[in-house]
Amino acid sequence: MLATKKNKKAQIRITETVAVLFIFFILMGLGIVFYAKYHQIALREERSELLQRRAIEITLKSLYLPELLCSRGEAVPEGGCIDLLKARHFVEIVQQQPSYYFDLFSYSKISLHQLYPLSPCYGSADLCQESGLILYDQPRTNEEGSMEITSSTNIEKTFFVVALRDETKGHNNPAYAYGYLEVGVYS
Amino acid sequence: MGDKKAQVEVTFNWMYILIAGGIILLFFVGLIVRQKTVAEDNLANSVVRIMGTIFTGAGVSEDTKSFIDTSGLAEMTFYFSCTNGVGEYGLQGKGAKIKNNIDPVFAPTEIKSPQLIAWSLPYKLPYKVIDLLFITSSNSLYYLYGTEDDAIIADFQVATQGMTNVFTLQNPSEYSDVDPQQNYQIRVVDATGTIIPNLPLPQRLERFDDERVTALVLQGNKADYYQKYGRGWKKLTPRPLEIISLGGERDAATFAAIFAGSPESYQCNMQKAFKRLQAVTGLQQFRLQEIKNYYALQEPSGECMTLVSTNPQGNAEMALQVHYGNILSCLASGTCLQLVESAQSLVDINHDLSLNCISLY
Repeated sequence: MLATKKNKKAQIRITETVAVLFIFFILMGLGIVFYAKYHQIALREERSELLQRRAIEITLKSLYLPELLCSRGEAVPEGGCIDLLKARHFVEIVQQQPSYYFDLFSYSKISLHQLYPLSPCYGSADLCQESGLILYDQPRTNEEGSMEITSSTNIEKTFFVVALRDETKGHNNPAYAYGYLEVGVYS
Repeated sequence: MGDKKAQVEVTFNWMYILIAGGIILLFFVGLIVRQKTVAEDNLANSVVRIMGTIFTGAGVSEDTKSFIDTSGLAEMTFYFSCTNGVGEYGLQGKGAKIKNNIDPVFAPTEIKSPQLIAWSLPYKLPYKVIDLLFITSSNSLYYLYGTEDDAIIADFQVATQGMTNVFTLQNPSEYSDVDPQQNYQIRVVDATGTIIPNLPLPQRLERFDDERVTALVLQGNKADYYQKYGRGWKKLTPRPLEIISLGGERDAATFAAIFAGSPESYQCNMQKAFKRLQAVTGLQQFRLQEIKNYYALQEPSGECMTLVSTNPQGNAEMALQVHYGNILSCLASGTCLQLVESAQSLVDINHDLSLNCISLY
């Protein structure tokens, strides 16, 4: 009788311990799941913030690129203006020093578009095409070297209105067109 | 018998509780310590990243001084270095840092201050090459000394208006009264070469750490760096550094020498500018080719074509080619003085072109 009572008590205690452990592990599992989820969201937000920061930096650098600015001798260069005599050949300079410009622009695409006048197209025929005159384009590539397109591939685009100057057009004075600079940063 | 068993069980339960509690407590203490380290690292990373963005903005905002409040980080030390053409800045003692091989940043080796000052000036040789970024702090003091003939001192004084850490010494006797008070570091800029290293170190500077008291002697296009060594000065440059510049007001290359923490850092950052000069000159050559093609169609034997390409005594095409060759030799050998001469030729040709033709830049 005493042994049966003792056995029953022990069984209850074992069940109790198992229940406590079960609840403990459930709570711990929930905690881990919540933490993982929170961490995942935080990482995604941080990645997005980093992309935006990179986009701002690359856009700023492209807008004030000494290679493309409209100089005026010793005077301060014209603001918001791109010299088409140089812009036409920018891609050739990038090809000569690819690693240097990669350090500057990273994975991004920079193109120039002419909006007005629609004709004649100053500098290059590409300027008036939808794709524009591509100054720099470095998409992310996979190991085989082809462009990597994943569900997370994204491009953060920024547009800036600029004047386009071509000194070989126009009469006595340089010809100006109106366009925009498109800076896209690949995520 | 039963009593003894109960006593053992209670003691055992208490020991069990203590051990388990201790382990749990240790686990949480460990977690908190780890979280603290992670949080500090994250903060350091964020600070350095934000600094990077601010510096990028300041770098492109030509001739604008940005006063950055870092009072929350006043106990942290920023370091700036540059070796083999790669600049690095970050927080000392933390892993957070940014490496950069593009933008020339001239700053003291270390900054610990509640306020940073960022300022950029365009470097022209003779066309704009890049913006040189100067970083300093409100507690890094600059004492300037020069005579009326030393235009650089007056020019620097005018250019740094609004900065409260720049002082001018009117005569050599004022040098002995230099008082750094509670500031972090001192740089003496002597454009005459009479004060440094000849006069004895001001008494109030003697208590300062040697690395925090530096001097620069500017004479023409040459610069010598000194550092406090006990009660005197130690020369850091075996030979004077050449400042590659066309001179004039707000001379970015000379100002950069004033802000650079060390001669190595100055040369390393100037190499970045010369690397960019190669790219910009390459594009100037393409631009000149376009201009040449234009005049070849419009007026093949006109004055403009002569200046651009056909004048055997000297033309833009030839001058630009010489300049490009000098840039390549500067990058290869580190001897860049010849760039000044070729840049001056370009200035002269550009002046002639700008009268009636499309100018070179």
